[in-house]
Amino acid sequence: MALPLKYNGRSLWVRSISTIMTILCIAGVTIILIWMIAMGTGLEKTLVGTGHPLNLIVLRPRQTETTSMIDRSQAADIAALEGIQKDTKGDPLASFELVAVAGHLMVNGKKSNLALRGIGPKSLELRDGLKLTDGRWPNPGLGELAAGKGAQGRFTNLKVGDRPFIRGRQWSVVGSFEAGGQAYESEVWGDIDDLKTQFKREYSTVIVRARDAASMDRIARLIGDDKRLQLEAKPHAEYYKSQNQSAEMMKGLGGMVGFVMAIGALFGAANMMYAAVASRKREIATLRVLGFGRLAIGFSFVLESAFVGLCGGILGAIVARIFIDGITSGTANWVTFTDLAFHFRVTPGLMAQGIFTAVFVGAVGGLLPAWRASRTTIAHALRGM
Amino acid sequence: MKFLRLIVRNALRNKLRTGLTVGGTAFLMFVLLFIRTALTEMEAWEGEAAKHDRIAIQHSSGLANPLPIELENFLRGDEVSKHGYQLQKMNWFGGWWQDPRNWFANLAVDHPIHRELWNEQKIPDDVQARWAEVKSGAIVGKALADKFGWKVNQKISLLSNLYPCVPELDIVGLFTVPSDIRQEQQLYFRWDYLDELMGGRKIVGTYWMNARSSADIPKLKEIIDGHTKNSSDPTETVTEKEFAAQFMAMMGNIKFFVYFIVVGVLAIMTLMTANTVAMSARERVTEIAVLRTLGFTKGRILYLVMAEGLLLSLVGMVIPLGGALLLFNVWKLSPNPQWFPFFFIAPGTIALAVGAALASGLLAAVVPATMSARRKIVDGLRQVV
Repeated sequence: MALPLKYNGRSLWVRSISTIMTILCIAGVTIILIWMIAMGTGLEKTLVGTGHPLNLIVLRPRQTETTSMIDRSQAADIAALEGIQKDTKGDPLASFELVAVAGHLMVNGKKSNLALRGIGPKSLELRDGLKLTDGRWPNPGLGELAAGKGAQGRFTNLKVGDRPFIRGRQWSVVGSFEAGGQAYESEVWGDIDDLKTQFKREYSTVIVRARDAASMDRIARLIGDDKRLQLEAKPHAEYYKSQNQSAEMMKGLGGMVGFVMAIGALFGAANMMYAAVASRKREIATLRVLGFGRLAIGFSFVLESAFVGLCGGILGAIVARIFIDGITSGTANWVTFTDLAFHFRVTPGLMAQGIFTAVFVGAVGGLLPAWRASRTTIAHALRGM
Repeated sequence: MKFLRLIVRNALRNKLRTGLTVGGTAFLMFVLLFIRTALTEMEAWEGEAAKHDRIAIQHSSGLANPLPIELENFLRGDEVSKHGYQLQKMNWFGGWWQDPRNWFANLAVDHPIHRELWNEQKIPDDVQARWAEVKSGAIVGKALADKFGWKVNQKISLLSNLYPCVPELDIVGLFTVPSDIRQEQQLYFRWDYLDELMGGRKIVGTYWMNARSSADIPKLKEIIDGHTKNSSDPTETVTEKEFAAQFMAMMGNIKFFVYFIVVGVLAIMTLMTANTVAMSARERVTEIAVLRTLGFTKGRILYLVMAEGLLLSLVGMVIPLGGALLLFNVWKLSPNPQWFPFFFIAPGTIALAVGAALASGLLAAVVPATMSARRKIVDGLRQVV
């Protein structure tokens, strides 16, 4: 027969100080665990979520948007390929773009690299989830810029109406936009020809929308096989995914830290439960006299410990959700060396993961004490003080 | 000190509890050491760089923008030479060997001046001589060669996402950096070789030079940046330390994150120790009352309980510290060799660990100790535990 749960609840209440301290310990560990993972997944999400599934990005082999180089005639050849979607006027959905990098002052007083994207008439159509939140998109030839929400949060002088000095000229910010958390939010967009002139660069990429998955493969093959071009076409989403190194590092280190901390917390939980078992020796013996089996008693203690873990986990997850979710930060994308803004994301899934770890810590921490409890010999325990 | 035996015996009275507490704090302390070392390793170059009078001349729009070759003449001219010498062109090649995950620092440099300018790198005479002979020659830090298993005279080719060419390099020799083994993670090859591969486009990433004295640095900044101010490629002249610091700035708020976790870990550690000290003080209420009757003052009781807390947290610090020093400093292991070739526990981190252990031990014991000291003797004797 199983022991009633009420027994465990009351027992925890009797030792409330010790219980609360253990709950706080486990809550603290849960918070730090969630913090580390939320940082990695937040960063990952900006990169992994970017790029339309039917888009291809064309650039020089191995290179990135910030370093690749494609001249005008090559770009035109690519846009003329069979299999590219046409818009209502019959023009191919292809955009010639340039991403340039400029050191710019951040709001924290330090300098980092701002990514500037030169956009053409088809750039907006090729991307989903763009939303102008203020002002308008830049017009060609006037040195106008639209700043992403992430970039605005990280860098100075990018509000609508500001006139930042970047790479040898004064620009005017005429709009700001959101991109549903995609990497574009960390960029500033201007007219392609303005940027080409100012940065003395060619196009760096061509982005095309394929009609369907089959033509996507075909276009990629055509471009890859053309020896004159010396270019390669990759799925747009994959291109961003491959820049995920910082996130991988953070997740790796975060996992290690979380694992070691969980072991530490396990010791704490075990400590509390051993004390509980020691102080309840006679009680346990009495239970045995009343007919509760060893297994039921052991199970009851594991349950009690797991419950403490659950409380700590829930507390930690709630605190993390309130205080950590949505924190904005940024770090360099170490593939392009540009600043990438990201949000800490404490998703329900991550909260569940934190709570699960906490319960696991509680349950495993309670195993050995429970075993000891179940081994209590009746006569000994009843006789001893 | 004469009570040391008593304190130790008290702590060892419940070996299981003491063991679990020390074990728990040890794991948490390990996390603290780990996370702080991740920070100091990232900052290591900054500290090294501060020891030299070298300056870097970079594009004011950031490192992604190349500098004109014409600047070299000016930098070799009389006006600059009065304050600085040993001019070197240096390009970050950003290459990897075989797999993008094998990335490391590889730079194209003017080889004749390299040994004098970077004089902490010990390059043997014959290596320097061979480097001058072999245009495709490269010198490799010993630690880096060990990591990839490279031998002298081996041919290696580098792929890069910054340059479209593929240098096929001959390793002409190794260099060591006795003052800091971390600086042995680089590969240098010849700038004239890179330029040949790039078709003589004379791309310069940065110029480096030695200031004649630290007093000359501000003058150099003024002269060089003043000279290029109104050109299409204005420069920003920085000291080596400032140069290194800009990469930390790009990493983002790492410092804040690290200290957030340090404080969190400290709090959890304190709770854990507090729980144990409280438990053992509660068990000894009668005993403490007896001690008081024997003439122990309140202050002495306070001292005894505090010392026990301190002992627990100090032992919980020494074990992981010793372990970490052995793992990382002696055996030179790294949790992530790609991002951290080395993972040395810095003296500052040791100090932090000692400070954290002292603070957490004292904080943990302060409440139980005051309660024990304040309790009236009669109350203590009356209480049945």
